Amino acid sequence: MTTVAGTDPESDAFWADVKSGGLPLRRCTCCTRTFVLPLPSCPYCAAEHPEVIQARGTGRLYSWVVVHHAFDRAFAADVPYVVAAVELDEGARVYARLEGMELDTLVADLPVERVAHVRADGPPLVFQPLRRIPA
Amino acid sequence: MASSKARPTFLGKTALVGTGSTEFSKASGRSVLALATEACRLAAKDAGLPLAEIDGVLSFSFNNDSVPSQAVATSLALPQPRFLLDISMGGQAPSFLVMQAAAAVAAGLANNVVVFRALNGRSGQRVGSTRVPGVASNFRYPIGFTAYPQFIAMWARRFLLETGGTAEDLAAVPIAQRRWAAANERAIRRSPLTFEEYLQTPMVADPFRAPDCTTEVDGACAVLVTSTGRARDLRRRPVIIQGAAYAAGRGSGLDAGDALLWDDLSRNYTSLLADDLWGSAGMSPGDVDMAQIYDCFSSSVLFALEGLGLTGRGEAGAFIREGNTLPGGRLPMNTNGGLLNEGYLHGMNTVVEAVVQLQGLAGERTAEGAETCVVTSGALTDGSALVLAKGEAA
Repeated sequence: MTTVAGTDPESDAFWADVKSGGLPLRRCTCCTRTFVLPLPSCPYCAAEHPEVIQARGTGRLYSWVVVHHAFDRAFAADVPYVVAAVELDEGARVYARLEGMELDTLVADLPVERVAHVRADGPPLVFQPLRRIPA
Repeated sequence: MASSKARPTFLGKTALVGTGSTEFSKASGRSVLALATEACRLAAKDAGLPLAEIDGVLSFSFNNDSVPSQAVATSLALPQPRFLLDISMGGQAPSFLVMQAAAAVAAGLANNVVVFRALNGRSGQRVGSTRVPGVASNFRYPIGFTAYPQFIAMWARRFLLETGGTAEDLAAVPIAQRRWAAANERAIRRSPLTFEEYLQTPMVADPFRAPDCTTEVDGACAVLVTSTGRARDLRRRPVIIQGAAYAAGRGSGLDAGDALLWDDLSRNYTSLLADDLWGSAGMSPGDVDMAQIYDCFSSSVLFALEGLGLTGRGEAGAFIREGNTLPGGRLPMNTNGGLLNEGYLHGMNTVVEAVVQLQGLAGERTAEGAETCVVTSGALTDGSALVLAKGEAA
C-alpha cells in the first residue's frame, strides 16, 4: 500500500506515466541536462521551456537508505526496505525502491535497471541490480 | 560563477547579552505561547534588561508549529515593537535569525531584539514524522521516502562512501557528546554510551541508529541581541557577533527535504559558507576555541567539521574519537550534549549553549579558556553560521 503526500497536477502526471511504464524527465533544450522536478526552467542554466523525454530506465546507485522504521504507517508492512537515489544514464537523479539483492552486495555506483513489472499494491517505481545487457 | 564575498556591517557592533530556556520535556502540558513567553522573559532577566525595552521579536517555525512573534510581543506586554519577523524555516534558521536581529539593531530598526524558538515538538506536531508540504515531496513520498531521518541518512551514506567512513565515525559523535550531556541537567539523554552499546541499538534509517538521531522535545529558548554600546550597561559579559554567514547552494531544492538537484550529497552548505564565515570574522578555522555544531543527526557534525575546515576531508570521525572535542580537548564541541542528547529545539539551543559558555555561565561543563566559538545552523543544502567572541566583562 502506498500513499501520496498530496496531489498536484505535475507529480500526478509523473506517477500516472510511471504506472503505465514510462519514466518522464525534463531536458534543457540549451544545456541538455536532465531533471525530474517540474521546474519551468532549467535549474542549471535558467533556459526556459525544458522538453519532456523518456528515460531508458538504467543508471547507477548514487546512495541508499535502508528503512527500518516506517514513520508513516502506510509503509510499515514494507520494512526493512531500500530507498535508492539512482543517477539515471540521462543524468537526472530519481528516487526509487531497490529490490532483488542482498543488502551486503550494495556498493557505490552499482549499475541498476528499472524493474518492468511492479506489484499493484507495491511501490510504483522499483530498480534492481543490472541483469540484462544494456541495449 | 558566484558573486564576490559578503561581509555583514553589524559585525563587532552587536552582541548577544542574555539567554533563556524553559525545561525540556516529553510533554510540557503548556501552550507554545506560554513556553515562548517564559523563554523570552528569562532572556531579558538574564541580561538585566527591562522587558519594556525589547522592541524586536524574531522567530521561526516549521509547518506552523509555533506562535507568531506578534503574539509573544503581546504576551510580554511590549509597549512599542518596531521589528517583528516570522520565517518559515527549519534548523538552518537560528544563526540566520541572530544575523537578522543584529542587522536590525545595526540599521536602527530596533534596539533590543529577542530571538526565540518554541514548540511542543514531542507532545504536539513531531517534525520527524511530519509530511513536508510541497511538490518535491510528492516525488519521493510514494516510494516510502517520507521522513527527515531518511532524507539525511541518504546524505550520510554518500558521505561514508566518498570518505571511506564507517559506523565508527558516525558513532563517535553521540559517544563523545554523551560525555558532555552527563553534566547538563537539561539534557534528555545523559547516560554514557560505548561503541559496543551503540551497535546494540535499533536501526532507524540505516546508516542511522537511534543514538544518531536527535530526540524530540517540548520547550523553548531565546537569546537577546543588542548593540555593543548598550551591552556595556547590562548584567552579563557580552558575547560579540564577530562573524556571520548564510549560504544556499545552486539547486538547494523546492522544500526543506528536497535534494534531488544537489550534485554532491557528501558536502552540505558548510562547505559553501566557510570562506565567507572565516573571512567575515578575520579568522582561520585553526583559530577558534570551541564549536557548537548543529546535530539533528550525527552525520551533520562530520559534514560541518570538514566543511568548515576544522578537520581535513574524511578526518572528522577520527578527530572526535581522539578526544579533541571532549572536555579538556583542543576543540570542545556541543558542550550541552548537542541536539542529539539535550533535545531538538531546532538548533536554537545550540546558539544558547555558545552564549552561555562565553558568558562564563556553563558551570560544571565550562570549556576552560575558550574565548571564541563557531556555531552552525542547518544540515542540508542551506544553512547559517556565526563566530562569537567573549567581550569585556560587565
